[in-house]
Amino acid sequence: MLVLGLMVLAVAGCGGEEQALEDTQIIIGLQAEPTTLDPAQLTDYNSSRAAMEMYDSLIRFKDGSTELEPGLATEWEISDDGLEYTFKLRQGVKFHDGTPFDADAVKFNIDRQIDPEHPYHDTGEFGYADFTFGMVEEVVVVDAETVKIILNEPFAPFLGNMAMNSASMVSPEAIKEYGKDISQNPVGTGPFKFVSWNPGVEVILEKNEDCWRGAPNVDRLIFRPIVEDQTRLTELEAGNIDFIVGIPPDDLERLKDDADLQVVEQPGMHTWYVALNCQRPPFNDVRVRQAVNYAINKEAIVDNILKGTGVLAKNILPPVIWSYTDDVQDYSYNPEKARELLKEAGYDESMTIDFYVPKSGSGMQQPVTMATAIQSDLEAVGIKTNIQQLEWGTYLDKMFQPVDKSDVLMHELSWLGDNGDPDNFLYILLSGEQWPTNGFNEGFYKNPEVDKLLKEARIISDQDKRVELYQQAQKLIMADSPLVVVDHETQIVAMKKKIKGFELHPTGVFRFDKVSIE
Amino acid sequence: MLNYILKRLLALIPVLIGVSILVFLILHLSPGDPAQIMLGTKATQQSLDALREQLGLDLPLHQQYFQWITNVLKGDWGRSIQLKREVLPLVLTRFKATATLAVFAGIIAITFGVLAGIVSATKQYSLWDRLLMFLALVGFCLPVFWLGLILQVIFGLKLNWLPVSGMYPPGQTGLGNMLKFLILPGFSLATASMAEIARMTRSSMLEVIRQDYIRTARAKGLPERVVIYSHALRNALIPVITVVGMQIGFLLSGAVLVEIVFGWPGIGTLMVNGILARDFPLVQGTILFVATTYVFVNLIVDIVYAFLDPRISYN
Amino acid sequence: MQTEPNVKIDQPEAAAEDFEVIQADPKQEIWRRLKKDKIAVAGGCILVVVILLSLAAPYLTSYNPNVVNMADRLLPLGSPGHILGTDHLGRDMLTRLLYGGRISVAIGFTAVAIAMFFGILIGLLAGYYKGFFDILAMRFIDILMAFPYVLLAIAIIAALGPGLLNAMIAISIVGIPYYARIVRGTVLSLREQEYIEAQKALGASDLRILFKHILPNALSPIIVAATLDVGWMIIAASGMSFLGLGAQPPMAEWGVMLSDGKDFLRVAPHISLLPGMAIFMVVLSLNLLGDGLRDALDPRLKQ
Repeated sequence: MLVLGLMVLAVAGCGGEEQALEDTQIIIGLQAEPTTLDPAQLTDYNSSRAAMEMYDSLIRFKDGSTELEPGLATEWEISDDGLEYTFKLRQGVKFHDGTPFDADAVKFNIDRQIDPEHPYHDTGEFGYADFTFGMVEEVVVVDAETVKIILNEPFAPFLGNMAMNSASMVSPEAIKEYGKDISQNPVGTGPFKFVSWNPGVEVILEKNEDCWRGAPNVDRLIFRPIVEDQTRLTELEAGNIDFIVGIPPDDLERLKDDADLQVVEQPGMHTWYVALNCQRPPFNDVRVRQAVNYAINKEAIVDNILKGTGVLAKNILPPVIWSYTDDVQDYSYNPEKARELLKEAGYDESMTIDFYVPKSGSGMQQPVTMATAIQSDLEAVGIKTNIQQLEWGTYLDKMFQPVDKSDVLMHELSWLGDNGDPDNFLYILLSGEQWPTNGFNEGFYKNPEVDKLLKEARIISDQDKRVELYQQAQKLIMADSPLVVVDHETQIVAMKKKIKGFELHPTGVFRFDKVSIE
Repeated sequence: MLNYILKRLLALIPVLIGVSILVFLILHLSPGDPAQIMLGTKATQQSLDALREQLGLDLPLHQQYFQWITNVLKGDWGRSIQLKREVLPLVLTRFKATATLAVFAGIIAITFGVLAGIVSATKQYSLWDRLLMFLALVGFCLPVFWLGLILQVIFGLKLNWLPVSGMYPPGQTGLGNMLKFLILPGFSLATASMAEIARMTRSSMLEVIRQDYIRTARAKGLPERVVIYSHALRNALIPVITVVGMQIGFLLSGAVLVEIVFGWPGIGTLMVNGILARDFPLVQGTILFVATTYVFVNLIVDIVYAFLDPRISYN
Repeated sequence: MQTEPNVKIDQPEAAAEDFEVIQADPKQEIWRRLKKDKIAVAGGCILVVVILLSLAAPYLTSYNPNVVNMADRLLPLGSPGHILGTDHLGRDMLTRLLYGGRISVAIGFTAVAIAMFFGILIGLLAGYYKGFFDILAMRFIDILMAFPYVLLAIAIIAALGPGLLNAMIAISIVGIPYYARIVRGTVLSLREQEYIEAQKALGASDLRILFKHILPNALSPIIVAATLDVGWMIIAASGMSFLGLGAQPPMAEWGVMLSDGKDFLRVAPHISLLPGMAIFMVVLSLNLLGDGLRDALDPRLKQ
């Protein structure tokens, strides 16, 4: 220890600590190394947070919400049959490499992801291609400033898809030049452009003076992967970095009290739930499902385990998504009612149910601890469960078996929204057409009335009508209680006070283009 | 001597083949469908099939091995699923960081370990001896990652003398810039080896000091310093070198844990992330690379012994 | 094979009471020397106390180590009802330390026992029968030794998947080469000696020769190494837990507790300091005991 002290002094003595302060920069501590900076290949936050500073898509989510506004397209038109989307493109926009953005670039970016015959289809793994563009029949270049996208069936959420990360525009010339290595050599049209990526150390971006949205105020962004939560926190508190994610709940209070720091939070597009197998006893009886919902003390889980890192969920849809309503059946903690319902349903108390739980997984928050709390709540009303812990990979395998092969009665899972459309939660998670292996309705919920509403809402393009249909569907679904929704995870970041004007976005990406430093 | 080296090199061939088979099997002993595990829930059938084909998962096992090992020998180590980069260049860059850390820690461990050992031996049973040997024992028994976290809080947060993560100041590179970043992880990693070397040096020194020629040297009236440093130390260090050789494995192992704690962009971080993300090409690449390097480093160490210690016969 | 591994270390103590008068017995002599080594005795005592305490856990505490009590989370040391405080889920730290000791110490001893068993077996057979099996076995050992210790464990876990049992298997495999090599060396040096040849001529079975006449000669270094190894295995297992590759929460195991606690280092340092100290104490006591045993078994090495 003594030796260490001496060594420190020696180094501190000789290291001149002057920093050129004429340019402004923000150093961001991420939870892990970005995996790719190609927007078509993004699947995790650490990557999208660094990458999405560099790109634009035809349509943008507005700041702080999932409402849409013009991006690289200035206006668009939808044909009456809902099959043709015509976009007018913004003129004079250039990619960071100086090549012009035009209709050919749009076609190139979409075809690259969905057409196996496209010469650059092999330049990446496009995990979201099917989700984003699966309904696209053809992309037609009308002229340099007009592009028409033809769908193979009407699909109302399509505009939302066009605002997703995977619909961002990458320079075709850059893809041709770098091939698979476009991942490490990103070229977009966004407010920041790529400088360097030192693997494991940092990704550096600098401001794009020529950005069509206006140049950002900050000169440079540096993203550093710091895996350990405590280490990241120490770096922020010691003043070595400016901005962090992944704050341990118990340190939150201290950070909020710190005069040099500020904490920004916002509920995300996320829902954490327990799914019940609606096709098998005992959960094929709606009363048992409701009983489970009443028996679980969701408030206590949110208050004590999640400690402000999640907000209590009343509905499957997170409140940040339009058409959300909390005018649905209320399942506040009520063990009396649970016992009553179980009695009514003639529930057999000698039964022990296997409760499947992943040991960890994206969006799963604290899967084992939360499951333990749920287990003891259920035991209190006479439902005995056995927690079965599985590895994430094996777990997903087991959860997504077709109905005749599945022996899972009860499990927990979470969903992270993609395009900000209610369809992305309600249809995918609860439509009878979305039973595995088609989709993610792993509780095998099927209500023909709900199916009809969800199907109609995804075809028509009248926004008010869609809101109405989704609200009806939410009421029906919550009355059936196919899932016990527990919470919506809150996004929390902490940063130095000198950073002004930062706002979180429900999609989880950061937007530093309007941020300034005092 | 040359014969000895050649013979050792030949003996490595079956070992390396065995290592490669073990590394290859890692992928196939895991439960579940590797392609599904690697790509996750939102993967399409199309991308699953593509990955299966890329990894050759449909071929019989021995064919898969030959395909894999041929590619490895050709320098094609596959592409990391998670990081979407060629594995070999990635592994090389990251290993450089690990090697830097391990060498730095090794230098600390040898310098301070040998010094402490000498002080302890020459002042046997003194307060210094007891204190140093107690510290050595403590250092030897501390879990390295725990020590790292505690050093972070003391020197990074409370005293705010040193950065606690990363390898360079933002936007810079170069060995000079790295030094400040090396100190905390370096010391955490060095502690256990330092302790082991100190203990070994002490006992080896004590044994040598008792021998006749040292007594003779003392009897001749040579100054104590000359006796200790030019006569005793030289002979005492031969067994110490053995211990130092053994530390290479410990330093490489410990580096994995230290890298995670200090966000050091080395191969350990890469490997553990790879395992947790089920990125098999990456896991196989990192393990194969480290094992191969370790085999050759050990060979070099053995050859160095053979040079230094005339008692080892080359046959 | 199924012998309780810690018996090996406890045995001399038990034996001592019974044979105090017989001075000629070499075991007796070793025990006498060990007993004189106060530091080693202290190490042994700490170890015995830890083992006894963790075995008696259900009688010493009425808490369940895994039951979450969110109302009482992060209580500091000396809180009423929780002498050592509680962790981030309101679980009693003392209880978890006691129960955790069972798992951590058991992992250490079991892993060493497994490593010893296979190491000795491979060493005996390879050394005694030589030929093809020897070549095969030693190549296998060489391959294992081609991986730096922890990395081999990590590689094995990469294949088997994370978990306590897999981590234990992994670290035991890492331990095999050392024992195999010691035993093989001893066998090779002894098998041509006259008294072994004589035993053979008298018609003693291979098994008898191996276990009765050869193995005992390798026991001293094995016992010393095993004692030191138990500590190493405990640290290695906790390291695996720290990396998320070993025992998984909510299990009360010192490594898990330590890595759980690291997220609360600033808010409630005792959650990670206590299991850290527990690991440290046990490893320290094993080292003290191991050093003492080495000196007692081979007094020539003593300085």
